[in-house]
Amino acid sequence: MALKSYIAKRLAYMILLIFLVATVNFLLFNLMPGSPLDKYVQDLRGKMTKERFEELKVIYGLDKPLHERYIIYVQNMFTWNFGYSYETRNYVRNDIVRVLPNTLLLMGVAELGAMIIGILLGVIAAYKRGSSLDTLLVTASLGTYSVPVFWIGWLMLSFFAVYLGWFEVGRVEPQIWAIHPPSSILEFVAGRLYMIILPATTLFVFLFGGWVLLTRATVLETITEDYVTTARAKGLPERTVLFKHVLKNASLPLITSVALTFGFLISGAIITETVFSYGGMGLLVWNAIQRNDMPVMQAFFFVMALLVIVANFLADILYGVIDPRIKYG
Amino acid sequence: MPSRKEQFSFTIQRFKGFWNQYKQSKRGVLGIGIIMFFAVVAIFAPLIAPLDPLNPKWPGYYPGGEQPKQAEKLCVPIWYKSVLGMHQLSESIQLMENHELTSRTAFEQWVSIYDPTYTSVQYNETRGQHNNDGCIEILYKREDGQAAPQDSKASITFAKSFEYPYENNPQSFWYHYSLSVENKTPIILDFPIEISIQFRRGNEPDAILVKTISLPKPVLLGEANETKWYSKGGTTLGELSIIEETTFTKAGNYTYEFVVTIFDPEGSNSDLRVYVDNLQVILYGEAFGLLGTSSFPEASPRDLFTMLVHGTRISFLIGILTAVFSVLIGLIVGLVSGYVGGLVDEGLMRFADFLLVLPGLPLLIVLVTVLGKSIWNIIGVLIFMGWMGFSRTVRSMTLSLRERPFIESAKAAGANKSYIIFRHIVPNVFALVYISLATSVPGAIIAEASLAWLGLGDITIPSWGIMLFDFSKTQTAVVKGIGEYWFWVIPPGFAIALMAMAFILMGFSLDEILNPRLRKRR
Repeated sequence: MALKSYIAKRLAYMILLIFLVATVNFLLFNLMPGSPLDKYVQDLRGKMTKERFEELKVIYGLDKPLHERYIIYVQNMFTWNFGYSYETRNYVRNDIVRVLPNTLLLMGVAELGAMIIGILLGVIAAYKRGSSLDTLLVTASLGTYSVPVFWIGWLMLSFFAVYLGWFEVGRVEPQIWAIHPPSSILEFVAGRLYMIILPATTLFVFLFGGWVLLTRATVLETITEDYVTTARAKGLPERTVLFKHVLKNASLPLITSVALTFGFLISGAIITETVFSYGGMGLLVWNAIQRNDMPVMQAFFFVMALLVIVANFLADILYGVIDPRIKYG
Repeated sequence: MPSRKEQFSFTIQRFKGFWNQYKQSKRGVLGIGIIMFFAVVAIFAPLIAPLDPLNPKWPGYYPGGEQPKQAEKLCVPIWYKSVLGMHQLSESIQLMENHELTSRTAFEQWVSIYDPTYTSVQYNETRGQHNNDGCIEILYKREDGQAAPQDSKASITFAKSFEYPYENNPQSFWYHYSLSVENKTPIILDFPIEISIQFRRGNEPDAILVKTISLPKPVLLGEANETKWYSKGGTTLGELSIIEETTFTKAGNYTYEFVVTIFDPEGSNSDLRVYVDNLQVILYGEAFGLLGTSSFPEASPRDLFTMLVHGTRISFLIGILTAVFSVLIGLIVGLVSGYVGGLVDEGLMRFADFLLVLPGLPLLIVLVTVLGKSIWNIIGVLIFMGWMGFSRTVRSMTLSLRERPFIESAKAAGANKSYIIFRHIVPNVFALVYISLATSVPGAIIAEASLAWLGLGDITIPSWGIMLFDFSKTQTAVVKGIGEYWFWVIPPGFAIALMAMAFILMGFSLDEILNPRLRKRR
């Protein structure tokens, strides 16, 4: 029963957060000087008649008073009705539904790889604490923190895609699919993976250092516990001690940090996508930034915040389920 | 009470002890070393790289149109010549050291060729265009009844030979001249004067004409028919744009010739003076500066080394301002929240939680778009988004400190809240402040670069992010890779990484020494 009420509480908190995000998003775009439309049409000043401007205001619902707009706005956000893009005149929801899976795929592939390799290296670094291997791993991980991700992307792109010509960039699916669509599911998966290798590797480089450092820290904390000494004293092989006894107990903060670093992952993905012109949320917002396309940016921010909030919610639940020590409530 | 001197020596001693401990960490020492190096570069930036980082112009007085650019676009680094043995690369050359002709020696560098029947050329010491310095004076006089010159015109050529030592041709060339006409008799022709610009290769009989310009009367004399200066500077774009390639085919001696032609059909100009000043030619080479030049902006390509050096300042500014203020806010919020507790605590921490859950970069994008792209807005937004993590740490430290006996005894002694916070709690959390300061800097530096990359940077400042943004605008990375223009892309990215790394290393080492949680374990 306790778990259920815990979940209910978390759920209520999540909904409150989503509501707050929607409010902030509304206030940000509506309380700045001038209407949101002003910023977009400022390049067209003089070329647009007053009547046309008023007409646009009606189309985008900007003629209504603020509180009415707010109510409509919150309703729209919860139903994912983001209106129309100023620039492409597309229905923003369609655009987002089209590109969001691409972003999720990129993030998933990169995060999975970063987790597996990062945790492995982190365990090794912790186990060989103080050795030169440890120093190298820690320094390299700190290094990945300090390099701008788009710069890594550029280097990757120009070496592997332009200089070696191994990869195709600039789209989500191979160009050849326009003429010969993939015939089997295997071909489809292979094609998508081929296109994602470069951006995912870039994002991987950006992410894995964090995993190494986190794993190293948590493993170091557990490795000194008494039960580890007991396991060693029993004569268990070192590998069993490390992976079965130490890592299992150290994995709890690792799992939750997937959610906690979700925002970080999103930031990396946005920038990586723009480097490789990979058609996801990042490229969508990049185009919107260049053109002051407010509805798209508003929708983008909301969806991204939603992702993070849901990820945090799931992490809380997961934490409650797997850690018997946690006090619900 | 200890005297001030004793207190000071105690501080020194404490610092020495700390430093002895810090010294143990090689990473930490490396970090401090790199930061000091960047600090020196930042402080002496105008001495190391004296050019204008954003809009470098060729120095000197050039009133004719836009000031000439410092270097042509996409120059390669100058050391390609010596280190890579690419001696054929051309460098920029200017024809006249003293184009304002402030001294007679400068005037004497020009060889004048003219027909002495009608014309004479001399140096005028006071009639110059700028500051009444020197200029060239041409006297044209035809007595009444004297026959007009051949073809009714008189040409005066000013020639200056120079050595062009490079095998490769220059990328482009730029000329400048100023002219002033003083007439004793009215001018009736619509186009009384013509200018020709030409080069001569070695002693070849034929000069290579670059451009001929007929100067109409209103331009020379104005509507009011008064004497004034007319100046013109420019390139040959559109007319004979390949002149640089066809003329300077090999190293050797060349002559620049500036020809003034005065038209005088029977019964027109018979007595006038023409003053010539600010004659200059700049041949823009292919190699410039320690790191070459960018291709943006067109009118004054940027010297990449200068921008790199000045970018150090911007990165320090962004990194340190953001770190100091976000840590300060975090400290205050954490102290208040932890010590006061109750509703205040609840409210502040809920707000921090809310900000923490928002995705960083998307929020940055939205805020900067809404507020505008100035560097101060960017710093402000980074501060606003940077204090939450530290405030939570401070709060938990404060919560545990609050219950300690020494606070209780201070309370019993009648100390008020602010005294306890400042005298007892702040000194105990201050170690964390140093760590947080060091670890906040890299995030801010990288965030600025990322914003710039997305097109949300402040383009009026020479930051490393803007350097990379300039490059991204050329689309070269996607089309041709960055190999050829590595000097534009690698240095700023590397500088960002190095500076961020230095602060991370310092923070990491401080963390090992000062963080009580980690110290216990060692």
